[in-house]
Order: sequence, then C-alpha cells, then structure tokens
Amino acid sequence: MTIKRWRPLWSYRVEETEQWLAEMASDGLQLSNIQRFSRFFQFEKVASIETTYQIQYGKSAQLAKTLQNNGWQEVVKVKHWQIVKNDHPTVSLFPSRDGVLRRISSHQDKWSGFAIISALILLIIFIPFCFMLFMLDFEDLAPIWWMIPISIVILAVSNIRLSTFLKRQLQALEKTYFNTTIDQVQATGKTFRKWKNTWAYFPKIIERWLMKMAAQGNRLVKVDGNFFIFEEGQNEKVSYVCEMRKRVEPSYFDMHKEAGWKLKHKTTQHFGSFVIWAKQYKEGETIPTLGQDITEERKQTFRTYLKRSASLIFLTVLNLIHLLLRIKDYKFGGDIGDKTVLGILAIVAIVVLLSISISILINISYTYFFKERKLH
Amino acid sequence: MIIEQIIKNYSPMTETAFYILLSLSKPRHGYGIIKHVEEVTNNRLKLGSGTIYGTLTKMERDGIITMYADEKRKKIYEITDDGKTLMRHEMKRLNELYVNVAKYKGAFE
Repeated sequence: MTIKRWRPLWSYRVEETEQWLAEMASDGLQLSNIQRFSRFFQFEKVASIETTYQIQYGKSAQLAKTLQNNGWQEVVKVKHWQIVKNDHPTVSLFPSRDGVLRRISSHQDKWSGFAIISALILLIIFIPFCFMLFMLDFEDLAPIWWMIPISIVILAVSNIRLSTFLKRQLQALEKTYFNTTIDQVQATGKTFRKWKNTWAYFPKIIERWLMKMAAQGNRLVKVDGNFFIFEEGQNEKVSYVCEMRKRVEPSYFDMHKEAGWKLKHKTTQHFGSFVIWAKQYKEGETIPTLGQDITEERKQTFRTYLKRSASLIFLTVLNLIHLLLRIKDYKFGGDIGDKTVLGILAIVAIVVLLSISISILINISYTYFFKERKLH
Repeated sequence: MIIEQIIKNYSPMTETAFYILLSLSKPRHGYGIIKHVEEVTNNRLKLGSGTIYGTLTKMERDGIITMYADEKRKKIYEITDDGKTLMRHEMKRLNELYVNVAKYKGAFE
C-alpha cells in the first residue's frame, strides 16, 4: 500500500525531515520515493522498524564504502539528493553534512538579496498604498488597483519570511556542525585595547600588524567588535593569518584546528566571513602559513573592495543628487525664517554625509591599491 | 563528472594532489593526510591546511573522494571508485616516466 505525504520546504528542514522519516518508519511507513517538484514523499506500508535517516546533497554525493560496511544504504536518489538509512541500533559513522549546509548557505545568500529588494518594494508600494486607501473611496476603485499591490505585498512578505527562516535553519545547523569555538586566551597580565576599522578590513595589513604586535610582546587575547585586546608580555613568534571567505564550511574549521591553528576571531558580515587564525612557531622555523590559494585570496580581497566601493559610490551619488535638488529649491535672499534655517541645516547635513562617504572611499581605495595589494 | 572528464582535468596531477590521493590508500582525517604526506616524503613536502582544504573540497565536488563524520563529528576522507581509476591512470603514467628515467639517466651523468 502506498501512502503520500506532502512536506513543503523539506530540503531546508533537513534534521526535522530526518526525524520525521524515522518516526514514519517506526509507524511502519518506509520511504520509497520523493516527488521533487510537488514535494510529496511516498511511503510503503511495512513492518515497524527503528531506523536512522540522513539526507545528503551534492552533485557527486555518494555513500562511502566504509559507511556502506557500517550499515548505511541508499533509499532514494533524486537529482542531487540522496536519502540514506541505517537500521543498526547504534550508529557511529555518519554521512557528511557539508553538501546540505553548502546548499542552504548559497540559497540563504540569494534569498537575503531578494528580501532586501522586497523590503524596499514594501516601502515604495505599501506606504503609498495605505495613503491611497485613506485618501480615496475604496469602493470606487477597480479591483485591479488594490489586487496588484496586495499581491506584491504578500510576495514581498513571503520573501522576507523565507529569508529569515533560512537564516535560522542555517544558524541552527552551524551551531551543531561547525566547530567555530574561539580559542580563548586567559589574560593574567596588563591588557590594553586597540581600535581597528574592521568594516574596511584588509587581511594582509591586519596580519602584518598582529605579527608586529606579537614580536613586541603584545599577545592578542581577543577581538571584541572593532577592538583588538592585547596582553603585555614577552616577545612571541606567532604567525597570524587573516582570511576573508565568501562562504565557510564545517571542514574548513576542523582542518585548520587539527593542524594546530588557533581560531582567534570569526565574524560574518554581508560581504562574507572574516577569520583570524594564529599559530606559534620557534626561532629558526619557517613562518607557518595556511598554504591557501594566493590567486583566490587576491580575488576575494578585490571582490570585497569592489562591493564596499560600490555601496559607497551609491551613497555618494544619492547624497549628491539630494544636495543638487536642495540647492536648486533653495531661494537665496529670502526671509530668514524657520524654513530657511531648516533648509540650511539639511544642506549642511547632506554635505557632511557626502564628505564622510567620499573620504572613506578615498581612504579604502588608497589603502587597497597602495598598501594591501603590495603585501599579496 | 564522467571518468574521462576527471582524467582529462586531473592528469597529469600536481604533486600535492597525487600525494593527497596516495594518502587515501585508507580513509583518513585531514590532519592524518598532512602527517602521512610528510612521512612518505621524509618531511620534504609539508602541506598547509589551506592547501589540503582547497584540494579536498575540489576533489569532493568532482566525485574523486567522499567524506563522512565520526561520532565526534570529525571528517574522514575516503577515495571513491572514480578516484581509484584516476590513481591507476596516473600511476601508469608515472611508471612510464620512471622506466624512461632508468633507461636514459646514464646519458645525463
């Protein structure tokens, strides 16, 4: 007997779905197929069994021989998805989560972009729409005039909700599968803090600075927002590696930690993740490096610089247009009243914002082209 | 990826890729690969964890290796059947090199 169950968003609710499949098996329903587009799961009625399910994803996802020898077997394979199960009561080896995490992370990137656009659309459409409802007689409007904005609002809200849902799912998976614990250092001596603009983060410059600080006997205790907290002590030979990565996977942290690197800092911003690694070495030894791909590293730094400059250029152009419109409307020689004072204040504020964005743009461009690039 | 395409993309192999796959004569952790490469090359080749991570990620994407996790969620890497075919092809090529080195080395002494 075949039974079908609909399970929307199952590919994002991976752990929940695995648990659900195990419960179904325990109720005597064995998974036999998945209809990928309609999101229907097909089950066959069999004897009740305690089973562990796991979902794998990847273009080349396949079950390792060792896993097969440990009782894992493929149940369903649909496109890049592979559902595997293990009927043994105790399971000690598990398929990798990397593929699933990689997929959710990549989807979250895209959906967060849509969510930002949706939020802007909501501001542009929803506010005028509310005004329209108050200003006009609702009954006189043809249905099309209120149906279109309502549909757009529903779509935009769904986008935002999906994006936050994905973010929560990703955070939960990362908490379980990422070994991103910062290797804490207990400070016993005198500590001090130094401020660095981590928004305009340049990996090689920070690396050199941290190594110089270590050579002067200043040990990095932790990074707290934009503050780097150091402890005064003896000179140390420490190699620091700062990486800017578009996406980080569980094995990234495991690999470096196993090789003796200490994770000093990890932060995720819209432009990617910034990670700081440290490893001590002895006098006479070569400075340890991660041995990462230099070309890829250069490209990543350049990409981040481009994204930051583009956002600053956008802000500058917006402020400039605003300023030109303000000046055009401003009547010189008029009565000095409240309106004029407000007008002057607005222009001053725009000029200040404009100068800040232009100076940051010049600063990061100079730092990138004349300092960071030379260190690569 | 089909095996012909894999061989075309990977062969001739870089020394790093070759030694990483050679280390997977049995499943190993990432750090186990680094140590094994150092051992078989008498510490001549010391692979950075970034190099290993980048190479293994690419190989996993291409279906040459696969990975799983132990109880402590530590990753273990294992070569696939396609990976073994690629290694046999590469070893045959290297063997040819070795035979020719033995045959002609006298001319360069």
